[in-house]
Amino acid sequence: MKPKIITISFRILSEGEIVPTFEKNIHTLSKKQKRNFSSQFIQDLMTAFTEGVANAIRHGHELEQNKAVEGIIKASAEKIEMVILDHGPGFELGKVLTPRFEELTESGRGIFMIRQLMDEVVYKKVGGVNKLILRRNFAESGEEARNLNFLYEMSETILKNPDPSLVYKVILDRALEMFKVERASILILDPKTNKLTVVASRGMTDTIKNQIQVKPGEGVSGYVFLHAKPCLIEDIDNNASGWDRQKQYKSASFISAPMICSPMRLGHESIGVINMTDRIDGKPFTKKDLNLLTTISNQASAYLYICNLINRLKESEGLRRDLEIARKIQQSYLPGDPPKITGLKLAGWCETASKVGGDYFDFIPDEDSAVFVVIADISGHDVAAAMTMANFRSQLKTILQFEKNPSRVLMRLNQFLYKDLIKNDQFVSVILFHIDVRKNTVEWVNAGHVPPLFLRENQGRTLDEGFHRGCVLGVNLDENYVSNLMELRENDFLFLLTDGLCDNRRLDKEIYGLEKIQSFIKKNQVDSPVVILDKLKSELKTFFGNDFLTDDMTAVLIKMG
Amino acid sequence: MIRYSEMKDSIMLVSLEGSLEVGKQAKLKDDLIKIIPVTCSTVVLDLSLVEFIDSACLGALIGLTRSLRAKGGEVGLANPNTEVRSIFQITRLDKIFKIYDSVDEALKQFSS
Repeated sequence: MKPKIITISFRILSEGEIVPTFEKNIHTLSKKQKRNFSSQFIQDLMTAFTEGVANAIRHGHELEQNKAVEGIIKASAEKIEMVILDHGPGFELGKVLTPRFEELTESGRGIFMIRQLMDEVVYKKVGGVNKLILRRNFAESGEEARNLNFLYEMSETILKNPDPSLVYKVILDRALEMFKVERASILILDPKTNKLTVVASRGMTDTIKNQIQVKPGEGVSGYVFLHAKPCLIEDIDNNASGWDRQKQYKSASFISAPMICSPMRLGHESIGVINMTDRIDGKPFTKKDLNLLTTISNQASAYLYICNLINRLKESEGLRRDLEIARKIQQSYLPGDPPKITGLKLAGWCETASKVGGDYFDFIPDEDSAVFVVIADISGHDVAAAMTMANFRSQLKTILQFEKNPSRVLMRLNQFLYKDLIKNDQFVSVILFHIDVRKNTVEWVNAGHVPPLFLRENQGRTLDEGFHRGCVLGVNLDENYVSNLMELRENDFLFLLTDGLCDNRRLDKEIYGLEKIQSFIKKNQVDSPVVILDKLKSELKTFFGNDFLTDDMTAVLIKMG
Repeated sequence: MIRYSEMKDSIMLVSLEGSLEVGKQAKLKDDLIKIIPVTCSTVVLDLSLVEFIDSACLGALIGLTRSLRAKGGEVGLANPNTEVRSIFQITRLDKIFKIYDSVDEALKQFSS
């Protein structure tokens, strides 16, 4: 039975009443809806409520006594909504939500913080009343991501025993649990016969399994494999996905609808597909299911890659093999060409030192006009660091399926990776940018990473003083990462780097340093980021000479416009 | 790496030297574990002669701190040079570690 909708109204006269009012009301809600809130959930709501009401008292009423801030707290089956009303002159929410970095003040941060904790914030003036609405969904987006948290289980297993069938098993078990399906299968291309064959399955008899031989291009699996596009089929005889059942099937089909099918890819090469079909609850699959399956199949591919690598290099002696594995993992994880987004130019490179490093960067598109840019440095330079990087990357991509708020993304990443990191005495420094071209903003979180450089016209600065920065991942399980928001203008530059870029020393102990980098970008600012980074690379090669690097160097350059 | 170590009352003082960089982290941690008696949980690391510390060795120090704190103990870092200090600031590990300007100050804080 769905929980009832409960509405409670409140009236607060002074700041001292805020917390007790909240606690009393949330307790009542929880009792009436027979629902237990996690302590983190209550903490988030309370912080947002406190900031919202305090702001209404302070700015709305300008500390005028005896004027109450009123409102309601309403809980439905899906979400909780807190409406805060005041009669003051109000403020411009847009301004507070996108403070310019020069103007970031203490008072702006309260409202700004609310935005991090809530799923939706609306502010409007109705008649003479200011209405601040704060919404948070009950479904903890992290829950689903947590279900996918089989990565370190997997990396441990395959390092001990690099057997692909273990990867298949873990993937299928987890997928079955998540999608609640009766049948699932993994098909891999057999290069000898050029056919996709079943390497692992659930809910299929051995006879059927052995019969399935799919040519690339044939049927749903063959179509998905050949075109490298995930596919959701609602009705197998009447679909609009570009393939035709009659024409395409040369051999018998064993699939039924609805189904989802996702390609397994390594770089630009398809290696197989994952199919899910026959939902136990009979519900249709959604686009979200398909995205989830795609994430799983990407992760499976990454682990199969590591398996193959270990097997291929079996003959080499220990240390050399380890270094080779680590290097290959690192290289395979760096992105290809950056995504094309109108109004934004992106470029990045990573130069690996003689010792294998733990540098990582990536561009992850978010809808049409926004992109996540991430740069990270994993401590250590060995296979463990490379495996951590593999985990970090998969976890990040998984979390981004559910969670778009950068500070919450990092909090979850920290929680997911924590156990593994402390076990290996490792940590990760990371910056996650979310650049929205339509809103002209960058929102970012810094977890113990070298601060970004920002250049506007001829003014440059590092984004450290006056901005929130948290501790590296893997040290403090409860670290609260707070994000920063800044308006961007055309021709603004953002430059992300790893410490290698400022710490690498020439033989004469000279470093290249941040100031030199800054003036280099200034000098070349008419060029595109790709050209600037190319020039910077040759400049660094000249500077360091042939003895070159002791640490990885990674740089990402972003230009608006 | 480890220059000398001595017990000052119930506090272990360890002086480190040189560049603490990748490849040395395992030995650093092992050596520290070896010289710190099981019964001792409070350690002061004198960093004044440490030229540089990289992420791998920082990881080892985090590990040491974690295990000592689990025993109810603590690690203090004394007198890091500007470069080493800035690494703690960038990573925000300065929020986690207790950093002091001198060995005496660290010992004083820990013995009180």
